[in-house]
Amino acid sequence: MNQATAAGPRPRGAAASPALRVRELTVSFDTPRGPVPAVAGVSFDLAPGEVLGLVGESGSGKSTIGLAALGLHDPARTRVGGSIRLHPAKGSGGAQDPAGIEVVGAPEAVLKRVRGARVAMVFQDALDALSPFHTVGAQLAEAYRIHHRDAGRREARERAAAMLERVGIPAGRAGDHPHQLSGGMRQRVVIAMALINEPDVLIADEPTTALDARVQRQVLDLMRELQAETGTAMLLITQDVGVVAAVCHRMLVMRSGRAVEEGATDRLLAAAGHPYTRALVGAAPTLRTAPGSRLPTVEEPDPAPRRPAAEQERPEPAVLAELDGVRVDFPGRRTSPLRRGRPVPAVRGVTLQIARGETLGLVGESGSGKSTIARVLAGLRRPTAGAVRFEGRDISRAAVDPRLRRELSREVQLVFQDPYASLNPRRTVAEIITTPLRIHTGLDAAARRNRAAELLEQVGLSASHLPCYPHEFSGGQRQRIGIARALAVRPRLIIADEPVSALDVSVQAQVLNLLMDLRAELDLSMLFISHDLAVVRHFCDRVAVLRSGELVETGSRDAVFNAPRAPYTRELLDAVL
Amino acid sequence: MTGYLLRRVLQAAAVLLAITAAAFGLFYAAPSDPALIACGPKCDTAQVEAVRAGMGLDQPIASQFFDYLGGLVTGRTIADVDGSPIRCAAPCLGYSYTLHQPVLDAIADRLPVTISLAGGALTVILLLGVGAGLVAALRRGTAADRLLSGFNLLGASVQIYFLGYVLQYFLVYSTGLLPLPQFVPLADHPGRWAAGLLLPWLVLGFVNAAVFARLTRSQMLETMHDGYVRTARAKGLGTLRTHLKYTARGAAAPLVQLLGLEIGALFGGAFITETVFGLGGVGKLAVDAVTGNDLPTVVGTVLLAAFFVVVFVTVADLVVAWLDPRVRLT
Repeated sequence: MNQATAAGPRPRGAAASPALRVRELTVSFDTPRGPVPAVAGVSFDLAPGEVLGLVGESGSGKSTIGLAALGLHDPARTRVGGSIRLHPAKGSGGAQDPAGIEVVGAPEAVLKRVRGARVAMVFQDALDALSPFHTVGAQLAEAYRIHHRDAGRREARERAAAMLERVGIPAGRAGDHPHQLSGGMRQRVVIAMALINEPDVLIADEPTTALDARVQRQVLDLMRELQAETGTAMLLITQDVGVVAAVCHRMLVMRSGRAVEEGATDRLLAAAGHPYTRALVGAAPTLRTAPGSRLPTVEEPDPAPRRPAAEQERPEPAVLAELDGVRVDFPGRRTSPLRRGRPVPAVRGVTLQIARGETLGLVGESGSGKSTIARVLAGLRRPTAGAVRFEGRDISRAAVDPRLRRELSREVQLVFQDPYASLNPRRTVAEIITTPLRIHTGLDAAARRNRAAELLEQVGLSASHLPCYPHEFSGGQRQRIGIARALAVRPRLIIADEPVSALDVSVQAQVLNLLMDLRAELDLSMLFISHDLAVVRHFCDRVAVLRSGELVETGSRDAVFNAPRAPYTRELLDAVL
Repeated sequence: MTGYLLRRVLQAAAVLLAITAAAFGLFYAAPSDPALIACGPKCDTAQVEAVRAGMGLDQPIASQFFDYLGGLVTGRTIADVDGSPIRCAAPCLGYSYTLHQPVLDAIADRLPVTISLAGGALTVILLLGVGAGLVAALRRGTAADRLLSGFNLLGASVQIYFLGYVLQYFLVYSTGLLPLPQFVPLADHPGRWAAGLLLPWLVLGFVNAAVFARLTRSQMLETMHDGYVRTARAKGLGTLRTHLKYTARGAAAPLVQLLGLEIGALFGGAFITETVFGLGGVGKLAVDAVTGNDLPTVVGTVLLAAFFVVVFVTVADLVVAWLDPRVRLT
């Protein structure tokens, strides 16, 4: 959604010296095969109090710029050129030098005083960014004491507690370790840690990407609030245009280490000059994109509109697959060596149907039981209670009955989230795609290979890719291979578990376009699992909303998105950026 | 943490009980008659039978085992070859008819040698192994890294008896820098205690340091790229302090576990080192007992070695749980 106004008023005093001035920045990494450029001559200014979105896909060099601003690159393997100059705000007590502090090439002693004090960083994955060995209070207090040498432990502790309260965490949780906090709370701790010394510049690298939509919304609101309150300039690194629209005054679009386009957020979102920016902005479906339309990609920034999705006349959609009161419990953690742990319910009595030729979207936050339902339907997990039927046949025992499971896998295939983890790195593409054919069909080796070649063409690759290994492909290509493998035996139902979540937005658009083509061409039924409501709205006919293992709402796309009945669904929709 | 501690201690006790049962089985797995050996070659049949009865070997196996377990806990009285009763105080590991003393006393006589040897060797392992690993990791890719790695490979590939004799030749016989290795109790003369053991410490430590150096280096290099280490640097913490406070802590768990095993193993006796330098420690006692068919001593030393390993492995697990709060959950 285009909420350009949400960023609030532009900071005044743009004429004053910028908080951060980057000129002709180049960064290259030394590799055994020679230097690889990551950033090639990028320049921009960041005014005090301003929020600048650094937008681009993975590999565009945006995170590298963030690390360079803190001088965090390994000097042994990285060449940094150009200039990154900090101008401490008046009264912030930093260097009085009107020329500011040059970060590029600065000695470690200078950088140590800059990091965490003048420039602070919020990293993407808070679980990874916080030390698992120390309490969050201790980590906050440490951040304070590093730059306040004469502060005692007590003062630092009090300051840490106050900062925790400021980001909405009770000070009593200061003694907790990161693993005892929720994902949203952890990210709040990271933000508190970055802001504890009131830095002039805050660099946030994908600060909310790992969070559920509702939590993302809360964390972004908090960041914006704190940023406005302290007047800190913020560089927000992201590939999510929705986040940029909600938070940033200006945006800088990067591609392959170069700045493509720069300007006010509302202007670029509405009418970007560069086709790449247009593709990036349009690639992610929003809640206003016409459902089922072709999404623009970098290769095809202005796609011809897909012929209107003909409302297929399905007089009586026959049920293909069905869950009936399915309950799944996971064994709980043992509290003593003698007692069994109490079972943890993951799915609590879910009933839903997938009709022939239909795509059902399953929506929910992490831990809501989406993937467990996928596993039950694929016959990989036996439900604790309830019935699972495919074509009217009870398949709930498939997980413990190898013959049934084998028969089922001919009809039901999976596409997984992570295209890096789901393909065996030691098998060629030909082996990956022909394995299901070998198991399920009587085709001979040559026929299997022909079919594999045909499948690759179908997913937009070519037969020449057959002898290659997965690591030779990009993420999007790998996901195409995963789709080809799933389609090999001509299944009736495809279960796609977050198939585009790990992909860059424009690659996500390509894969969604491909799935839409294939679905129409092969008349597939699909269970499409996603946490991204906009994608589900774009792709699915019917939607089921899951919360803590229970269905809160099921209905047609239009019913659920236009007139949601459950308050939870409304909450989820409100959180979409 | 308390629950975790309790569980680990219970587990350790169960393992020790199982090992005791297995070691006790040695009595019956041995090809020779323990009574005959205990009595000696000059015994006649009647005397052997008397010894058998005195040792309780005519009892059912289960009752023998429970006697043995009871002896471990409360002590017991054992008949000598001539039938005279001998009081074996708890924890009674049995009576050696070869040495004519309770096994525990025989071990206690030699334990100071073993512990002195192990303690010094461990210090060398920590300084040389962990120290070299740290330096190599912090200076990775430099000449220092390559030199230390090569040095450690040398340590891993050379045998104690070779290195021991070579060093003894150069440091003792040729140059006279060190006295001939010998054991002088620490309480008697600390200086001579250290001087007499320095060479064995160096040899035993150097040979075992290689594994620690390699593991320290690889663990440090792996942890160095973890997110929380980067966060610490982004906070403004200096490189060295970051690595000591965060990287080392993240890298420590496998090292602590390996160290627990190593301490346990060294306390159980270092036979080769003891033999090379003519030190009479527990390792030598154990091997002498095996070659001399002195079954009570064999069982006793096996139990002692197992005890040390189980105890130190458990301690290591507890240290790991203290280092990393996430471990306590599982």
